[in-house]
Amino acid sequence: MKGRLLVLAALLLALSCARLPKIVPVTGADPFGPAEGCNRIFPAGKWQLLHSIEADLPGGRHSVMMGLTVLSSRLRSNRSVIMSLEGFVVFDGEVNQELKVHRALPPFDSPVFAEGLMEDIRLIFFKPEGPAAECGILTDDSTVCRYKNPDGGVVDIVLRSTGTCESLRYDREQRLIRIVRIPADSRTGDGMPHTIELTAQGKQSYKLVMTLLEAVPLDP
Amino acid sequence: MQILARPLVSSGVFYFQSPASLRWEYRAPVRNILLMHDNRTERYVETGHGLTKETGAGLQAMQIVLEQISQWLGGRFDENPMFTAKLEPGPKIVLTPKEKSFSRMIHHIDLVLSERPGIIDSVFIYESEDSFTKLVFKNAVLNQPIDAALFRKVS
Repeated sequence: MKGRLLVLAALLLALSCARLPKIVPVTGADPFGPAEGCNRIFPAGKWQLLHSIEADLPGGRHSVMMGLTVLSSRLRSNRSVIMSLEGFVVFDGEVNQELKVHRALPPFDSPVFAEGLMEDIRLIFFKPEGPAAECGILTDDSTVCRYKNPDGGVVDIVLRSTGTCESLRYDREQRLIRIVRIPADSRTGDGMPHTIELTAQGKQSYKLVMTLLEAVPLDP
Repeated sequence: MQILARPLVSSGVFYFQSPASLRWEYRAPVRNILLMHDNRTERYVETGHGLTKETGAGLQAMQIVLEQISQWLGGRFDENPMFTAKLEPGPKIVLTPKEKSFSRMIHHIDLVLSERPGIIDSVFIYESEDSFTKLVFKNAVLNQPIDAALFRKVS
């Protein structure tokens, strides 16, 4: 038991110290060829998505909520609502060039929460802005595309050989701060991921498991 | 909500026994059971690990909501210190928050009464003027014995 705990602690330490991995260019191939595959993991067009969200929060708290997201990939806009399972709205905000909060009840009423939520939404549902800065493979043969964030950070979109897709966000010090994982075979008929896991690392670590309840295509 | 292309619908069953025993169970899309009995409130939610008991601030908030609902179902509309109750045509009872700070959370609540005495047909909880949660009670059965275990245990 003690040995297992030590291994777990070492693993967590390794994860918390994870740094930007080196990308090996694919020789003889279009260096940005993998970008197309990377972009396919994000929803295209306009959608209304409803997820159940299981949240493991700081302090050992566990909560289940519902998340409604109305997004447009073309406009890079989204309206995001967090509700209790009975439908009471505790947070309602949108990003359409800038962040606007329509409703926020405690404990969801801080600007830091709203900004953090929208950054997570962006990482989950939107292709990083601009062209990939670098594409290639990682040491485990995964395909990767790297994008530079305006804040000096980096987002890696990784397609694992197992079929799992990941969006990895690094801060400007190249520390891994967010992991979005879409397990293999998690796609529904319309291409939407059935399950999305988000792990936040850093001062406020948390984990969200989002299960798709409904995906409604909207008129563009 | 105005942004919705189509409304979000949940369904389940609701049991109430006077004075204050309640089971509010959603079966779809997410199974979720709220129990209130003997001044004790519990909530269970279906997760990847089966039905899981929830704790924390969210449950405390729901305890207040459940107390409100049991007052309405007991016909005690005007006993609530948080709302002003007014009977309007329909017939419906409109509950308006007394405190401005509370009206930021709930704009008002409409309780639409059934033609059958003792039954509430539907509840509209307005979070703002154009955003509301509607609870519709269908297939209502009145004054039938209910096993007390329904209010204490999830199954």
